[in-house]
Amino acid sequence: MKLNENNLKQCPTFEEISTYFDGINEVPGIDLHIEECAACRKTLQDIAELDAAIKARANIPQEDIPQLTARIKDGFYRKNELEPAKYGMPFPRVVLHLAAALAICSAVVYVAVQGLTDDMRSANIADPAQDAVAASQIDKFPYYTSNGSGVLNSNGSENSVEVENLIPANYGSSEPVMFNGGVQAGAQKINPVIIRPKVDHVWVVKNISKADDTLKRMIKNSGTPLQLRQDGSVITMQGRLNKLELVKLVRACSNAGFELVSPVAPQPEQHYFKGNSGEPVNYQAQFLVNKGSR
Amino acid sequence: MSLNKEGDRELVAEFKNGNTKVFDELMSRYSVRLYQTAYGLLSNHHDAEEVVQDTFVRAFRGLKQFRGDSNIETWLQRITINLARNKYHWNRRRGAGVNISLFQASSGLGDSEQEEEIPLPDKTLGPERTVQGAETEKKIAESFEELPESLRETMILRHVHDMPYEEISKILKCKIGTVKSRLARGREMLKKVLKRSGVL
Ligand SMILES: [Zn+2]
Repeated sequence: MKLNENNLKQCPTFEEISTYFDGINEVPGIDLHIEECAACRKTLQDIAELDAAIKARANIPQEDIPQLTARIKDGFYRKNELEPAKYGMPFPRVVLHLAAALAICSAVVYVAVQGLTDDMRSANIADPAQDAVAASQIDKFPYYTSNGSGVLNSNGSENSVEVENLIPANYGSSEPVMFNGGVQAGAQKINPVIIRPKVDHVWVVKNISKADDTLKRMIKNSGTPLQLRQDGSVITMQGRLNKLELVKLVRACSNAGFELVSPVAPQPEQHYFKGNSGEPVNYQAQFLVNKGSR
Repeated sequence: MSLNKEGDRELVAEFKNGNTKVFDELMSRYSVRLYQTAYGLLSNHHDAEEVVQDTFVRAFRGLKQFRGDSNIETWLQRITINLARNKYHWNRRRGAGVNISLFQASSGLGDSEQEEEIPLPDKTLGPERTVQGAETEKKIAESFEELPESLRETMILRHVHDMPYEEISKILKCKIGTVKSRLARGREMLKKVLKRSGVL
């Protein structure tokens, strides 16, 4: 190697060249040295090739990015529902004060519905926490719910069931129902909604006997094998149907004026779903009258 | 190295105000970058996706406590690296090719319904690959395996994301001088391994 007064007397260390590669010039004269020293130039060149190889390996083709992102989001929404209450949960959150509530079983339990105006439909939220307001959690109680966008306050009563950030139902959707299992791969729809194999819903109705009539008619028209049972002021509907039938049923209930208070998919306004329309679902729904008064 | 730090701050502020739907936007911004980190460390597409999903689950739960003194990407990358580390050791203990979400594993919530969904399109992500490209990639992955974990992590953050030393030091919680020496050691080792296998 040739030396001149600006040059280093000896070759810089590998670490110095490595740092130089990253654009940090800590050794005076290192640039001039490398320019004139074949061995150091080779070292720098090796690092550049290494850099290129690692970058190439991490490269994701532009056209794959939407799918990758969609899969990651799907997984997030699916997992995020697993442990709802434990961490002080995300979307719909249920805070149950059941110990006290159970002790007075038939006493009034308040459901404070908060964040109803929070329109989550506009976000690409495919599958918010599914477990909030499972029918099994509140079917024993008459309870209060919002009627529209109002928020009921439990006034700190410890016998309360608090439901936060419930998804507002948007009635009267006319979007066609689609399942991604039947859509061409090219279709650029993202975030299909997941319908779980088991779906629990709670509906609020205005009049229990009218609701009973409506539901009987609905079942008859749809030809689905759903069972109805009425215990006092609660109607339970149960049965196995396919995903498309369920989506239609949910829309029909919504059109009948029932208010869906569980955020579990399918919701009346949802129209793009994961999987195939023929996949089976175990459905259970509770229809209750809101007995609360403000 | 945040794509849009100002925008990120606004998103975080909105989230803290209760508008949790903005989290979707954060996922749109960072899914790919976190995925690249996870894939770089794990060399497995499925594992990498799992890790990024788990990262977001954790982030969602912790975001309210997130203080704005580091940027959101630094924080997310740190979670991803920690989870990838766990996943890596988990896989090693269980033998390769076992894919289990850490989230499920750690919480013991093996929901049997999980498996029914997500028909993953069997499309392998990664560079446009020729036979030669795939071969090179395999060799790089194998070479990475031979590096100590801390070097691997430092290399990925620097080479894949071109992160400044300072940000890497924050993510890995080490000194800037350590970043520098890890990069040098990692590069030197990787260079040797790749030369031996004829890639360089
Ligand atoms: Zn030299």
